[in-house]
Amino acid sequence: MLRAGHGIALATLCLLVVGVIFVNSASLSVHGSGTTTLHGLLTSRATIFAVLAALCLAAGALVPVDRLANLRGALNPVPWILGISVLGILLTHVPGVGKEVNGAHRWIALGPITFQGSELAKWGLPFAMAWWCCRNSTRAREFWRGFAFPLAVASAICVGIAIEDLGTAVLIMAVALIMMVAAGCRVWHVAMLAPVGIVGFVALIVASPYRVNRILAYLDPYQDPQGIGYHVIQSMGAIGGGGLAGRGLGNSIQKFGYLPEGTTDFIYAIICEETGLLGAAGVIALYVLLLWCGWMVVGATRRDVSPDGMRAETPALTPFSQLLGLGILATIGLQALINIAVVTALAPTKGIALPLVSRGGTGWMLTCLALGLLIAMDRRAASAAVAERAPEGVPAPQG
Amino acid sequence: MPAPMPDSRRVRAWTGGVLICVGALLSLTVLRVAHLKLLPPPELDSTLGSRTSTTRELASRGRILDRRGRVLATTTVGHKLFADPALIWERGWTRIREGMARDPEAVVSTDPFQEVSGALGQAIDMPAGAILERLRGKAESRYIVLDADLSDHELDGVRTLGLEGVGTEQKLVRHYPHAPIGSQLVGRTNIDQQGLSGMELMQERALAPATGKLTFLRDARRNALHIDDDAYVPPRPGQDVRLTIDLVIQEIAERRLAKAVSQYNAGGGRIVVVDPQTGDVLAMADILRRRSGWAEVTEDKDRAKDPALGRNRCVTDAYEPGSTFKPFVWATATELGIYDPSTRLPTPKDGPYRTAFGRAIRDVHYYGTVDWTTVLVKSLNSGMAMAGERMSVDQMRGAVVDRFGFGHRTGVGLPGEEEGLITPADKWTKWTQTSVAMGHEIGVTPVQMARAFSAFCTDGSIPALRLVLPQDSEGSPSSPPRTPVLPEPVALVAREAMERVLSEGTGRKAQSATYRMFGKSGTAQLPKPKGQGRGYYEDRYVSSFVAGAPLQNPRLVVLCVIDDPDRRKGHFGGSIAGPVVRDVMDESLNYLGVKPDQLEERRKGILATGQDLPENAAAPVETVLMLNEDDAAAEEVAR
Repeated sequence: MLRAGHGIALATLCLLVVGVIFVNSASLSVHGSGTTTLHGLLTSRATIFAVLAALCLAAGALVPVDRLANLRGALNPVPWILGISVLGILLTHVPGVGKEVNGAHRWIALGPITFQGSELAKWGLPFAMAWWCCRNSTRAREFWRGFAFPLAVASAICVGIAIEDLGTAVLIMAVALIMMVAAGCRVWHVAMLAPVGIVGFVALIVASPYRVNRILAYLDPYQDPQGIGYHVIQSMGAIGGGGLAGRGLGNSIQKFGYLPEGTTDFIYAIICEETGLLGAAGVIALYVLLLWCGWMVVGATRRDVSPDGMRAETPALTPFSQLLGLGILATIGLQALINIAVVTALAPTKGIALPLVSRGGTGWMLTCLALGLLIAMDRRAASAAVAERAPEGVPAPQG
Repeated sequence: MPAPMPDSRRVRAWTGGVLICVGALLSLTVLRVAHLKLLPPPELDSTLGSRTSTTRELASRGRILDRRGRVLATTTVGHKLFADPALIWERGWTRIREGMARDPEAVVSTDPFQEVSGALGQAIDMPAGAILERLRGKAESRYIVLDADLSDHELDGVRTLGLEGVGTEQKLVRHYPHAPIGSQLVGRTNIDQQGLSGMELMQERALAPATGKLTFLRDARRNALHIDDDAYVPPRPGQDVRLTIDLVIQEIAERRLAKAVSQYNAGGGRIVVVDPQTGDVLAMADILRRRSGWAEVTEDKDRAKDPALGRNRCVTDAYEPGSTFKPFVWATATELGIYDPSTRLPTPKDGPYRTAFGRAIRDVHYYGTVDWTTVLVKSLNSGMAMAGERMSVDQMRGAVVDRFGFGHRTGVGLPGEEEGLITPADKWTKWTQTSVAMGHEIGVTPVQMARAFSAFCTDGSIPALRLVLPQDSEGSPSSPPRTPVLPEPVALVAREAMERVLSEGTGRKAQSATYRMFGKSGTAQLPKPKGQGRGYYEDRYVSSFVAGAPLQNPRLVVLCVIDDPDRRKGHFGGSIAGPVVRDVMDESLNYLGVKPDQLEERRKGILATGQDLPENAAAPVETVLMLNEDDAAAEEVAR
């Protein structure tokens, strides 16, 4: 029987395939290293990472999520996750390990593996937040213990990220807030602190000239088409290029040095240029499918028959799984939304990648690992349902 | 008992809400993509920048050939040598640093300019020191031309060196292999190979090549990405233009004219050689000599820079034909029956002839009553004036001036052609009538005169002049349209009379021992240039001679005009311009393989007297109409 988890796996793998194709397409160049062959594509870095990411997806699907959350003491994963997240952020500033790309310290290079420091926090914080909310559900409505403390932890991490990468910090913070409110925090607590957050946000923008320029370029890119407006204009030019049908797969012109970051943050523009409106809508459809299947997992209900004979619909997942699922889905969904808004010039430029598509090996792997957890939740819910029906004579399937 | 958990219904509700919002917003972005694809912002197109590059492929300008295919102008591909001093410096230092790092002992020079100039100095004919100076002088520049025209061996040398920051660039070079012969006629091009003067200008449309163009899609580093099928426009070389000019005859004409101009210390000279049967201009030359006192009627600053850039006075400047105009009046009067060739005219025995309105017409010699033919042979002004008086104004203006093409451009195809100076009908007086009969008070261009004279060389028709042979005519040029102007018998009678001009009249010094020529001399006073008062100089002349030969089947018309000869050395058209015409005729007809036709007995006489008789030796010199003060007063009366 086809389940929501299968849909998640399908959508994820499809997005990875799109990623492999377009990372390879967008990195074509005239005087590149030799000719492009099928063998070359199949052994490309992107393909290898896609395979590794698929393995991560499978690995994630095997994780006993709720049991992990209930471990205690030294085995409790939360302190480790938080510690690694903080370490990841700090290491980006350590010479020799931290790597500067395009003038920003966002990357860590550990031997052959490079990844953005904030990746760890992006997936780690939702886990920690879900864990905290479940442990302190009774205090959720209190200001200090229920709201201010987790917010402070999240803020501390996000401020660390925001110095170099405001966009990701905002993304992580938004997900954290959504999880807290979903877990029971009061909405007006959030609303009350909103002005503080906005002031901090504006301060961080004004403090660095390049962020101001990005805002200016967003407001009127044509003011300085060769300077600050260049990236926005080239991105819009790529999307508009080729008309509704697109120029055809592989036929992008903008990728030949005109559109910066064509393989990473701006890969969606190349997809629009090459495959037209259909390709653009197809990628969006895959994300929507992913979110839909995710919702089928997180929002699944079980029909309970209470002892007094009343029938009730109750959620199939534990609150922890639900909260973690929400965090993962919100992260992916918002990240995709922000990236596409930036590429289509609906929002100022930020350094946020298109999840599972933009080039980035470790990013793909961590995202797949997170999505694997959703599949794991689905598998658990499925086996639980089967176990309940088992007394009626159907043998419980294994695995 | 597990710890109390968050309300999973609340979590579920929020999850659903958040995911629906995100999913909906994501779906909406598709509309934005559609918007950008269908209605891109209007500013986008202009700010996006170009995605194509265009390379040009030069094509050669067409050649200019003479009538026998000799190359008068052609285009070759040359090369210029350029350097990028900034790049030489940068790359040179990179190399030196690398060398230092490997083996400091091996580094010979620490000056990239010196290295490059030293190597180049070996390859091109330019001292290394001079190259070094150029490079240092423009060290910051990205492009300097070191040598505008590399020879083949220099080009090879530079290519073999393969120096960084030094390159060669193709360029087209216009060559005139036979210059300066005919160079004024051929003209010049500018540095972009566009015609500036002469045939280069007038035949621009045929000669001009179409530059080839290749437009290709390029990447940001200008590497070619893709070439559309229709993006290549191949270069089309310009068409060759074959002139009617014969280089050999042109050379003969120029050489002989130059000799006469300097011999008579003249201000200038013009010569036109025409094939009267076809109207082909075989040679045309215009010499201006910067001599003190010589006043040009119109200034020509371009010509001062380069003779090939100036105007060609054979078509642009009218001169007063004087007696060379008489044959046209004579023939017309004969045709109209005003006089028969044998009609006796009471020309005065001594002293000037007085017209009905009192104008005194002088002759150089007075012969008494003579026949109408003798009037032409001896160039008697009195006889011509009588004929003029008996002709109506319409006959003079229409049957002589207009019919023979005076006052009309020949359309020979050179820039700036003038139509000459004809007195307007409302100012045409009796005075004018008699003046024009003697070739005065009228301005004609040399090409007009040569064309009109063709009437006596043919069946009485004049051809349209041309300088360019039609493209389709291979070998046998088709005859261009002809305009009949005289009945054939009249043309023949006039031709015979004009043979006598040479054998017994004013053109005896132009007699050829080889060919029987017929022609007419002319000497007119030089009009004063504008701003120097009205009227004519009393002692400055324009001397001309026009002739055709051989008598039976004329092949050539030669007209020579000598402007302002030194009076101390002579000024009569027959003795100054006549010998030029004779020599050009002799040499040209000989070159064309025309059989000599001069009568044996005359031949001996001519050889015996010698061809270049001194100025005062021969008695019958031609007549000059002296326009003195008496005449001016009489003119007033006539008007």
